[in-house]
Amino acid sequence: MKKFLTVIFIILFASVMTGCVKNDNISVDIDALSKELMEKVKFDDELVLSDSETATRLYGTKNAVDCRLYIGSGATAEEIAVFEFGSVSDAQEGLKAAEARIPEQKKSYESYAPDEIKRLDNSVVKCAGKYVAVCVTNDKAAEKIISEYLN
Amino acid sequence: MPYSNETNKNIKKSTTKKRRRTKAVYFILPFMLIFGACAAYYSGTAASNETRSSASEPQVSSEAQISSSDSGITNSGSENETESPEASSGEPGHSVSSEITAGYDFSRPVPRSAAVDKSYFDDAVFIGDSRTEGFITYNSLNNATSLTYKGLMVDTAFTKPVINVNGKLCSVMDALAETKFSKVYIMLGINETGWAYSNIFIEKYENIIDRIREINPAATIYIQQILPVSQSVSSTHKYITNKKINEYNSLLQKSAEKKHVYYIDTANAVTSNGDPLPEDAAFDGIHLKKAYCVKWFEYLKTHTAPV
Repeated sequence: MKKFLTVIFIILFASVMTGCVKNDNISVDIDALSKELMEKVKFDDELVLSDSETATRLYGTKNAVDCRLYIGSGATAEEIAVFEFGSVSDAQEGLKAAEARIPEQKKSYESYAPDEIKRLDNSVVKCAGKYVAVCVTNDKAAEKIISEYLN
Repeated sequence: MPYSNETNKNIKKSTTKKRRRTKAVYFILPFMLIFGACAAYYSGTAASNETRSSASEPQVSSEAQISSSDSGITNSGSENETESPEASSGEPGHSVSSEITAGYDFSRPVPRSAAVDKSYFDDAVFIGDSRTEGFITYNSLNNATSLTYKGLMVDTAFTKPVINVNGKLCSVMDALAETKFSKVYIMLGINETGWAYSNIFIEKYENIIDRIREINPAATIYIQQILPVSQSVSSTHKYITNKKINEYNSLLQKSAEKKHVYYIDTANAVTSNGDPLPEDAAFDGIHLKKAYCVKWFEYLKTHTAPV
């Protein structure tokens, strides 16, 4: 019994390790991901494609090599941001910046439009390899789509 | 001959230790072999990984970027003087060159002028609330300085620490003091439409103008008309009504004359004849969609102060 459990443990451990190694080499089409989010996720506000400099200004992501940012009018906190970085470590820094934006947005909306707090609580922020994806929405489809690309 | 209790204990300890060493080897050695195999496999295939679907051209803006959160915000100091400031009247705060403004009627909105391009706004600061935030973002005005915040008002522009300057949060007016600029566009007022006293709103608005003049006496200051809201908002909202907005705009126009600053009838960019904002102009009747923010920007480009 002990030998059997030990073998199972080793197999599980190996699976976890292979998953981590494979994740770092993931390659994602950020254009396809952002477009799929735009097409399949329900947004209340009108999101339009912005530029990389606006993305850098809003997120403070200085080392992104490419990005797609879809933003709204300001009436809601809805947003899509997908970044590609030059390295995994840069992506980790980008993830911190993306995660920091959520509480900042909550602070700006709390007295202005408190309903947006719930939307920000439901936001999806994910990192895999050199990629970071953010989607602020109440629609649960966003998490499924992002997980398919960044797994 | 049976062993003594002590000997039995020692044998038991020794056997237990051997079992633990064996277990450790059992765990660690296979794990190291598998890890090493995986590392060798993935480093060998890293260059040939396929993308999930076809790649597309990256979109990179070629515009320079300056923002309120940029760590490069510099002290304005004396660098902002573009003309020798001369008072055009005896009233304090009038430091715009009299040569430029001689004969200009500040009681009237800025007339239509030749269109400027986006670079005109390189040294411009926009002070405003969420509507101006949307305006900056939708027009990708990253070359201008955006001192905007959701819910910003004429009093919190001095008191609320919402702008990141070199890693530290400060108020809009404090951030302005750290900024290099030669023109300022202000649009505030919609969040104050619930205030009981209009004169308080105007008094605090004029404090902003006075402070801008202290920071940069030669700056060109534009008061932008508060944009209207849609009829559906105006007729149902608790305090945001076009009637109140129009009242504030009339008072702001008088302030512009009093303070010798430029008044832009920005509402004409998105509506006409004093009509409400079109229902399709804004998602919620208040925050303009991109198409209308673009109209707003085009209006500013064609209504600039005389030089």
